[in-house]
Parts: sequence; structure tokens; C-alpha cells
Amino acid sequence: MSQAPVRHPVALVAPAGLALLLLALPIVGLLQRAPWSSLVDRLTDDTVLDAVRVSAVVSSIAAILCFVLGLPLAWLLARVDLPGQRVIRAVVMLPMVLPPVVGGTALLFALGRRGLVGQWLDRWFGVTLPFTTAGAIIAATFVALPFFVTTVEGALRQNGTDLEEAAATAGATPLATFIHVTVPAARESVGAGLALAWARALGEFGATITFAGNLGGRTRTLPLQTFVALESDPASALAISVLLLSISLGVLVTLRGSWLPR
Amino acid sequence: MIKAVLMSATILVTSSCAVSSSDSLIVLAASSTSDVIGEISLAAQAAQPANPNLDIEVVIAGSPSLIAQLESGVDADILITADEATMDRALDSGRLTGAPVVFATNTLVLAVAPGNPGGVTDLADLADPALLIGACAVDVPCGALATAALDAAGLTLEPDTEELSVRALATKIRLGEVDAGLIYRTDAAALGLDTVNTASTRRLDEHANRYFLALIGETPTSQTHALVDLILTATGRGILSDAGFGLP
Repeated sequence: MSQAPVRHPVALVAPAGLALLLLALPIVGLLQRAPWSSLVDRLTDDTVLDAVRVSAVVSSIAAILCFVLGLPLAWLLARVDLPGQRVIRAVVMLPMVLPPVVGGTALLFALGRRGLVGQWLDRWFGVTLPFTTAGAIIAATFVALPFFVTTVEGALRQNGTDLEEAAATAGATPLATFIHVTVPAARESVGAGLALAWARALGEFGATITFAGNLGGRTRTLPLQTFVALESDPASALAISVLLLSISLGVLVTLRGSWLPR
Repeated sequence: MIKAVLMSATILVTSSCAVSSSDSLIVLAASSTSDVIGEISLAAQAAQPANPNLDIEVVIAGSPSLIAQLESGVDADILITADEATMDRALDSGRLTGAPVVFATNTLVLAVAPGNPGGVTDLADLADPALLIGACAVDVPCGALATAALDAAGLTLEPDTEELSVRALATKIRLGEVDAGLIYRTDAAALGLDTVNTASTRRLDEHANRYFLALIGETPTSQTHALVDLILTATGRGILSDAGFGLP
């Protein structure tokens, strides 16, 4: 039996090309307006360096929190038959599709000084999260966590439980099995999830400005600095945009081998 | 195939242009005028029963954002800024027709969170690092005005956040997330916020900013002129004055 040669559906080329154009054109628009000759000067400006520092702290701690809290959650979703699993998974995914400003408003009503939980934090511990770096970290973690959890959960499901069962048969405790078998087997996805979560945290804007406000050196991250600069110094905004764009592209290109299809 | 797709794309683009240039009137308005411009728009629609299709679209943002939109070529008919500095920047864009007109003034008040949890009693409390103080960013007119007023009082603000529009700040005061902040009299009135009234805060009245209105584009429509007339005459002045604005 001879196989017919596969023919490409040529009609798909035009819409595919348009899709690619839609994604690539804004990047080209940004790059052609970027102030290349003064890029370094603009990026080493004191206010920008302050924002770089805040962003580095906020996104790194958010990524660590994603690892510490998200890894157990990914395991729970992948391995344990929970009642209402679909609802729980929807809640986990929600920040990916929710407008970040809605997330920030929700955080304000939950953790703000008059919020559901925030009022008790304030009353009992004197802790107020809005307008602090900690608040910015929480906002960034809120939006970044689903990227980590879904990436790792997918890997845990794909890896299956054979190795874990073997470890259990050999007498390993459940926690030891998790640490020495489950996590190492999923290490590539854990790395990819971390990188994605970190990149998402770095780019976070809406939830941050709503929940954590905007103060130089404390909560003004690079995306906030971009927005502020856009109104007074557009060239500086473009310079920061180029920086954020290169970091994001760098992360995605690095991930190509592990998470994204080659 | 490519041809067909491009053609439909062209039709989409032209039809959306047609919609925005016929019956729809777009007003770019400074954040602090959002309520009154909404009311004036309703009055304009009521005043033109012959034109039920008159559709006034109000774009609300901080004045600098509006200028950025204007500079990037946004399609709009009227620009309203909350101070002269931002209107000057708009004039530089070369997209305005005629001279901008002052149609209202506004002053700052010291607004406090419901129940005044910070115990704010005087303008000087704004410099207290123990309190949660919100401010408008200096690029926003309310921020520039606050800086001028506080400089005159010999005070330096210690803000915990620099909000990008006066409404964002007013909302955070109302939610009790900050203890106090300087906002416009009109926003405090609109949100029903408590204000501090002492000798020092009364001196805030010495610093007023002026609201400018300008036409965008080379050939303003008759509807644009009608709306501007409404803002400048009795109907508009009544609405502005009720909201707490000063009149020129």
C-alpha cells in the first residue's frame, strides 16, 4: 500500500502570517523608536537603577515563593484526588486570565488595611502590606504562581508514579520519596516553571500599582517606572521597554530546550 | 486568499474610522473632571433631542496620559487638562485648534480616611513618617499643585505612594488604605470624604489650578462646538459649581 504524500493546506499560510505579524510588529515598532545611542545612560539613571533594584528583589523573592508554595500545590493537584478538583484548578489558573488590576483590587480587599484578613494583620501584628515591598512581592507572586504550578503539575502527571512506587517498596518515607525521587524527575519542568514565574513576576504591573502603590525605591518596579516615564520622559520608557523585552525574550529562548517545543 | 483577507481587513479599518468621525464625539478629560463631564454630556444629549445618535465618549485619565495619547495620534475632539503645564505640552503636539480656554478652577483639601484612623489634624501631619500618606505623582497636576502648596507652607511630603491620578489617590483614602492625602475639593466632595479644616489647610485655597479646554483637529464639528458652548455657559457652569469647582 503506497502512502499519499502529505500536502500542506496552503490556505493556512495567509492567516498564520497575519498572526505572526500581529505578534512581531509591536516589537519592531518599539525597537525602531528606541533611543539606542543613549540606551546605557538612560538605563543607569538613578531612578531607573532604583526600579531595577526593586524589580530584582520583588521578582526573585516572588519566584522563590512560587517554588516553596507552588511545588507542594503542583504535587497536590497531580497526585491527590481532591474533592472539587476542577474548581481548585480553576482557582489556581485564574490569575493567568484575570485582568491584573482586578487581582490587585481583590488583594486590596483581602489584605489591605481594612481588608478581610488585612485588618487583623494590622490589628494583631501591626503589619500593613499595601505600599510596601512585601505587598509588591505578594502581587507578583499572585500573578506568577499559576505559571509555576501548571508547568510542574503537567510534568508530575506525565512522569507517572512508577518511580515513586518503587521507592516506597524499597522503604523510602513519603517525604523522602518526594524530595529524592519526584522532584529530581521533574527538575527540568521545575526550572522552566521557575523561569516563567520569574519572568511573569518581573513584568507585573496592574496588580502591583493597585495593591502596592507607586513609590520609588520601595514599590516602583521596572514596569511601573516605564509607565511613569511614558508620561514625562518617553525615551526613558522606551529604553526600559527594550531592557524588559530582551530579558523576556532571553528567558523564552533559554527555555526552548526544556519546556517549549524545539 | 491573501487578497480576500486583506480586503476584509481594509473594510474593517475604514468602517471603524467612519463610526468615530460621524456621530461619536470623543472627549479626553482629566481624571478630576470625570463626574462633571459625564453630567455635562448627559445635558448635551438632552439638549439635542433632534440628534438621538449623538454619542459622547469620555476618555478619563491623568492629564499626562491624555497628552501621551494625543501625541500618539489618538482620534478625539476635545481635550480637557487639569492645569496649564499639561495644556502647554498639548499645544506643543500641534494637534490643537485655537487657543485653550480656562473654564474652571480647583483647590486642594486635606482629606482623611473614614474615621480618621491616623488622627490627622493639621497640614503638618503630612510630613509625619509614622502615618500612611498618599500623594499624587508630581507629573500629575494635583501632584504639582500639592508640591507648590506644601513648599509655600515649608513642608516636605513623606508619601508612601505616588498615585498616577487624583481619583486613584482619593479611592485609596476612601478605602482607608492611606490615612490622608491632598486631593481636589471636588473629588473629596464626590466621594464624601472627611476633610481637615484648620488655619493651615485653609491656606491651600491660595493655590488653585486652572482647567483648560481645547479643540483637537483642524475642523471641529458643529457638535463639538455645541458641547464646548454648553460647558462654558450657564448649564455647564451650574454643574461645575455644584461639584465644587471654582469658576473663572
